[in-house]
Amino acid sequence: MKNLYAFWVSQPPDPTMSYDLWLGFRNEVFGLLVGCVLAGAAVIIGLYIWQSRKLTIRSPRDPFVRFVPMRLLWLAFLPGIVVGIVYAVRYAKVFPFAQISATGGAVGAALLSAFGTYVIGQVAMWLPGVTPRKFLYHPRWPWRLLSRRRT
Amino acid sequence: MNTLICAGGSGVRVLEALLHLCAAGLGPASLRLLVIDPDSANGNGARVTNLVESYLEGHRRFAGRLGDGLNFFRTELDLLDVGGRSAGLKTWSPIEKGQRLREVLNVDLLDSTATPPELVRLFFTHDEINMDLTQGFRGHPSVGAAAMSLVALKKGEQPWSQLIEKLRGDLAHDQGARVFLAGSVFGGTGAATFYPIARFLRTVPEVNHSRLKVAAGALSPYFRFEAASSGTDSAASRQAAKAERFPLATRSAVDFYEQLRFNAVADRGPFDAFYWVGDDSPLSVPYAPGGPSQNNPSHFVELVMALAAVDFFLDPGDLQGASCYAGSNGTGVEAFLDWDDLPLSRLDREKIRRSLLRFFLAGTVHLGFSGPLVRLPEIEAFPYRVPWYWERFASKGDSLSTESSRAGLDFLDRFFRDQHFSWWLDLHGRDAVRLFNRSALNGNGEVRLDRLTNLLWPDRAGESDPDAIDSFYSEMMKVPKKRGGESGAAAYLALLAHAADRFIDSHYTKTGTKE
Repeated sequence: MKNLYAFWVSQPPDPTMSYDLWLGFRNEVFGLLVGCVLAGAAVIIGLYIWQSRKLTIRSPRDPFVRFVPMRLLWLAFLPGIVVGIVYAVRYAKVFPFAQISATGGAVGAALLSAFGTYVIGQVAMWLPGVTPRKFLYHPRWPWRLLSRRRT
Repeated sequence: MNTLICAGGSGVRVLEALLHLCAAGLGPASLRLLVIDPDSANGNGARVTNLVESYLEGHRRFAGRLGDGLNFFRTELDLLDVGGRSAGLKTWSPIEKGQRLREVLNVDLLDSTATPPELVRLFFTHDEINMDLTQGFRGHPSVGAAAMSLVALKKGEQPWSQLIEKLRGDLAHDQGARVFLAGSVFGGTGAATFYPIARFLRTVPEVNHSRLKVAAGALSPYFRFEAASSGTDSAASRQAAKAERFPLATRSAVDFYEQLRFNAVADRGPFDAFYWVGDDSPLSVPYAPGGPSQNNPSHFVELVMALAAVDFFLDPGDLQGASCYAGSNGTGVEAFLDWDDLPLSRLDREKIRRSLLRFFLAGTVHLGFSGPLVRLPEIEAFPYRVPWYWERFASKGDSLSTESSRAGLDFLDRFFRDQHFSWWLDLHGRDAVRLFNRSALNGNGEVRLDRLTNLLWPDRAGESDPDAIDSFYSEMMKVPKKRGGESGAAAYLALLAHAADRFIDSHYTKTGTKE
C-alpha cells in the first residue's frame, strides 16, 4: 500500500528540490485530490438520484429517449480541473525556483481526479437503489459496454 | 358441467355479459351454451356470436398460460359442436323460416282430426295465428310457448340430442348438471321459453334426477320502446311488441311462476332457483321488429343477471328447495347502481370489483401504452431500455415480435377496444350506473390513461394525472419474476394483470375500492 500512495509523484520531478518540501507538497495535493474526487462523486450521485427520479414515463417512446442523468458524469472533469489548477498554483508557490514545469504533474493529477470521480460515479449508479428500477439498465453494465447493441 | 340456455335478444345479451365476466376470470370452469331464438338474424345475436368467437380465441391463447392466480379467459365453452360440423354458437329455433303459427300447429289439419279447429281461436287471435314468426314472437308469449312446447318432438335432432346426451353424462357424476335459463319475461321468446324448456329438461334424466339443477333468470322490464307503426291499425301494428304491455306481461309471468312454485309436487317444481332482475327506470330504445336492426345497447341488468348465473353455477347444492332471489338496492343510493347495489347472495363483492378493475386496468394500459410500446422497432434494438421486457422476454430468448405473440397482442387490441370497453361504455350510458368512471371512457373504445387512478366511480372531476402511467410502469418492474405467464402474449398479459393488482393496492385500496 505504501508504494501505491501517490505513486505518480513518489519522487520529486527535479532532483535539486528539497525532498521534505516535496513530501509536504505531495501530501497536500493528494489530500486535495481525494477530497475533490469524493466531493465530486457525491455531487454527481446526488444530482443523478434527484434527476433520474424526476424523469417520468408518459408515452410508449419515453423509455427510448436519451437518459439525460447519465450526462452528469461529465461533471467528473470539475474535480480534475480544480485539482490541476491548485496543483499548478501550489507548485509555483512551494517551488518558485524549480526548473521543471508544473504542467505535467498538474495534468496527471487532473486526469487522475477526473477518472477517479467518473469511476466512483459510474459504479455508484450500478448500486441497487441508486437508479430507479424503471431505468435499471440505462447505465450500461461493463460487460455490455463492450457488446454491440442488437439491431 | 354448467349449461346456459339463452332465450331471445335479452337472453343473448346476458350471455354477452357473462362472457365478459368469464374473460375477466369470474366465470365457471366450463360452460355449455345454447341460444334459443327464432330471429337468429337479430343484431344482438350477431354481436354476441362475434364475441363468442373472440372469447374462444382468447381462451385458446391465454387459458392455463397465465400462471397461478389468474383466470382470464379460463372458462371453457362447449358450443355443442358435433363432429366438427357447424362450429360456433348454436341458435335453435322452434320454427322454420317463414312459418306462421298456423303451420307450426298444423291448424289446417285439425279438420281431419277429432279436434275442432275453433279450439285454436280460444287461445290465439286471428293475427297471432297468421303472424310471420321469422322475426320472433314479438311480445306474444302465448304464441311462443305453443311453439316451444314442441321441443320434445325435436329431441332427436341437433342440438338437442347432443345436449341431452351431455346432460345425461353430467348426471353420472356427483356434481350433476346445472342449467340456467336466461331471458325476459315481458317479451316473446324469453317469456315463452322458461317453462316449456324447463319441463322438457326435467324429462332428460333417466337416473339421478336430483342431480339436475335448473334455474331461471327472469328479466323484468328494463327497456321500453314505441312501436314504429303505432297509431295505425295494420296487422303489423297489432302484432308489434308494445312497451305498455310489458308490466302486464310481467305480472302474468310472476303469477304463473308463483303458482308453479306453490303447486310443486314434493318440493320438486321445474325450477330449483329463480332469479328476478329488472330496472324501475326502463331505458328507451328505438323499436325494431327484428333482424339486424334489433341491436339494443347492453344494460346493467344483463350484468346483474350474468352474476346471478355465476352465483347459481358456484354451488347449486347450496340451494334449499325452490329458492327465489330478488335484487335489491343494498346499501347504495336508491335509483343508482353502485357496486354495493349488485344483488350478490354468495359471491364476494370485493373480489368481483377487484377482478373487473384488474382486467379493466390491464386492458387500458395495453391499449394506451404497453401495446404500442412493445410494437416499437426500438424494443428489439434496445430491449434493456425496458427492464421488464429485458428480464422477462429478451434475456430469455423470448420476444413479443414473433408472429404468434403479435397475433396475441392484436387479439387483445380487438377484444378490449371493440368488445370489452364498448360493452362497459354501453352499460354506463346512463348516469344511474356508477360502477366504473364513465368519464374515463373516451368513447372510441379506449380509456384515458390520465384517469388511470380514477377508473371507478365517482369521477373526481378535473383530476388528470399524466404520471399515473409512470406509476403503473414502475409497478410492472416490481412484479416478482416468478409470477408470470408461460411466454409471449400470455406472459405479457399476466405481467399487466399482476402490475394492475399492485397498482390497485397502491392507488385504489384507500381511495376507491374500500370506499
